[in-house]
Amino acid sequence: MIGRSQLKCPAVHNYMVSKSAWEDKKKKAEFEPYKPLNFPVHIPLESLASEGKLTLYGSKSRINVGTAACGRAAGALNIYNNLEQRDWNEKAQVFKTGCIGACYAEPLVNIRTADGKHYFYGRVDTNSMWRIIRTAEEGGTVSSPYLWAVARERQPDLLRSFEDLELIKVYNPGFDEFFRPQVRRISGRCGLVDPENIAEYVAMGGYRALQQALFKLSKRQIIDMIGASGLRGRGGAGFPTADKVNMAYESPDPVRYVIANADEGDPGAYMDRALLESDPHSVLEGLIISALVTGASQAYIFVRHEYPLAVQVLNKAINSARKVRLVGDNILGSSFSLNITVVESGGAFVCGEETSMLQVMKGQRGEPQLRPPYPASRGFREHPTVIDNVETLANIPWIILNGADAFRAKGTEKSPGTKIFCLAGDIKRSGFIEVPLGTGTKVLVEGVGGAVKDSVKALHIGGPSGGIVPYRDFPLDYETVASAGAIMGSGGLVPLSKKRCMVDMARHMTNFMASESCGKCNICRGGLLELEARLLALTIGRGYPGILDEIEELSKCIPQISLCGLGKTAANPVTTTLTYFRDEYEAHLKGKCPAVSCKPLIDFEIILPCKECHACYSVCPTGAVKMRAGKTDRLVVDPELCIKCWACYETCPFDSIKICSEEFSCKNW
Amino acid sequence: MSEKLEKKWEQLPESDKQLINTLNKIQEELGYIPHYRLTELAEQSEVPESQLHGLVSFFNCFRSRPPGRHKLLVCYGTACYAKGAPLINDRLADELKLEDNADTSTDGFATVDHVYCVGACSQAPLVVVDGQINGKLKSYEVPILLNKLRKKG
Repeated sequence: MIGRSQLKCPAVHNYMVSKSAWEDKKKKAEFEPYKPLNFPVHIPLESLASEGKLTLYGSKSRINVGTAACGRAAGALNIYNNLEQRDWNEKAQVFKTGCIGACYAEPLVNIRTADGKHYFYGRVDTNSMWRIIRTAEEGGTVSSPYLWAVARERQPDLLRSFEDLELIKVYNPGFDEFFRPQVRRISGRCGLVDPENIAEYVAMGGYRALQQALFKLSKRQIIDMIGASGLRGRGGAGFPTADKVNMAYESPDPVRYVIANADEGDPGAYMDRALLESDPHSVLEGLIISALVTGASQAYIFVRHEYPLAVQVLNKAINSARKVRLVGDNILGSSFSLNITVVESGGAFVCGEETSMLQVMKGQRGEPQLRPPYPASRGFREHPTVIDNVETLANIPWIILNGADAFRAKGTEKSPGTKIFCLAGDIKRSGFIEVPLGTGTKVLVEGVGGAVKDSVKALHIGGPSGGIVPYRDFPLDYETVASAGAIMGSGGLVPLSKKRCMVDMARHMTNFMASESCGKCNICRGGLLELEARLLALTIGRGYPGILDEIEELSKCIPQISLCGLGKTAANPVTTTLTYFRDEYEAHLKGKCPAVSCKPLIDFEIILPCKECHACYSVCPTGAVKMRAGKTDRLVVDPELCIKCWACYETCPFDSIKICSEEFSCKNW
Repeated sequence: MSEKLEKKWEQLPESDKQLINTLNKIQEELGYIPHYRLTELAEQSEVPESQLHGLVSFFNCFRSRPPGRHKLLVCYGTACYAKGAPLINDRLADELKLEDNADTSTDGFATVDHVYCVGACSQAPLVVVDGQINGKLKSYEVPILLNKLRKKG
């Protein structure tokens, strides 16, 4: 065993590689990759591709039901079961696919008829079944609100990504607006390919990059290619990927590891989930190439516990790849062998930080460690470890197939390429979208998201460690976002309307960070709690003079003396809201919530005369909506009984309920 | 550590060498991680029990007490929070008569917990009921949801 004497805890040396294994690794590294003599026999890709083409471009209609987590939340499994149980008479076949990106349109059904046309049905329910059946069996369209768009393949029987489709008729204009600004490079297959079928992935051009990397390019060439493309880590920090790989590649240590970071803790960002559920093989391919270049024979995928479906799909994908010898010993007949292991996290935000993740993989609490040494020089089990985000890995096959210059064609000089953003919040159309880096926020929020002009007050970028900035048009790249005081994070983008209280949002983020703090640094553990207590005091109307200065001071010193990325960015939501929305903080001091959302500061009122439909009266759980005697103006809210559950406000069909918040002088406390 | 155990450890499949995977398996099997299983695991892997306790208490999803018959996870991600997750949470706590800091109702019917984003933000606000994601829930629909669950038992 190596370094046994220095380590007191037996658990640590358990995980290290024994001396014999070390020697084995050293020997293996000396072998040169060879090209097998009977080359085509060793490459199962061609036969897989023809197998995949049978289901992709078959003579039967193909019905794709989007059953990723977002689809399941909207009830896509019912739709799938209904369609699947039908006797199709060999006319059509039903598939479970991932999400096409338009999560707002879930459950989404996409039918490819034998003549190469794609029919998109959005917000499908049981009423629309017969239309789907008719399209699938006979082709052609039946006019209905469910049919959103018709597309055809630019070249018949060639479908490698969403880019190969061209919309020929749009029935729902929003659907077109959602997709028009997008450039779908790495998420192009999502929703079109069956994630559990490796043959379809290969038929869509998958694993070709791996084949090239194994037999045509040298490791140095691949690293230079990634370096020339300027690919930056998509996990948040934006570190150049090639530098990381290069550091491990040049290391004298023969044992190396590669880890795919799928521990996507940012609330509001789900691109990793979308990729893993909809197109897991692209991530696997990137991981295999990354391991090949690094010289690793063991790779890990550290995946979040909250995505049970992603774990399931991923395990199936690895198993099917192992069956066709794309994972395991002698991949595609080369001398390169790789084992991939899935590690399921237990749900901790800080584990997305690489050193913290390594601690958990060593079997210890996920407390971040000091860097340097960076994991790329000394990481898992003390060996060089390259840790890449899932989205970064999915970019690598694309770069190898299309070259660095093609990659640089989109995006900005410093931030080239495309990035997946997740739009959610107060907009019409939410979902995950892929746009070139540097695209303006206006295009995303108003164009893609379909928000009404002036309805959006603020933009929340980059999860709880990002910031809340006032909504205006600025390009989304790493530098501009950082200059606004936020970070790009993994790419969550939540537009917030005028109804959302900034102080309460900042409090929520701080609460999240305080509960996710690992507790190693005192200032992060205690300081965040103190900060949250002060923000809470504001939202319940217990502010006192000088509280804003205290908040400001705390939010300045927490990042300064914290060790890891969590502490350094934890106060971002507070600092940004305090800079840009100070008037809201000041109003809270006086007991008024301008956005009327903080429970203790608001009152419900019924605007009289109302239609007297009594919806509020019947829905109120505490009987606070009372009926007075008389003929008109009978409904009234009793503030003593009201628990502010918003039930009346949400049910009222005529918008007759008003929420108001006034300064202290008008209140009876 | 004996030579034998060391060899055994090396022969384990890579996924079983990860303690966190083992803990996840126990949690999935029983719904929580009882103390006796931790003691067993500590003996098998020769990892101090305190370290295992550290791991269990570190992660949000591990429980050391048995959960209720049904598990309700209220998503507290940014989008869900903005769209009214606290209202749903408060209503759930009211309906199940949860006392302060308790997450399981006294009759053992349901456990209410928070989860930070399940990644279906377009359907916000959402509640994960026994593994099924329910999207676009309104707070006044909570009693209906609970009634449905009560019928199941």
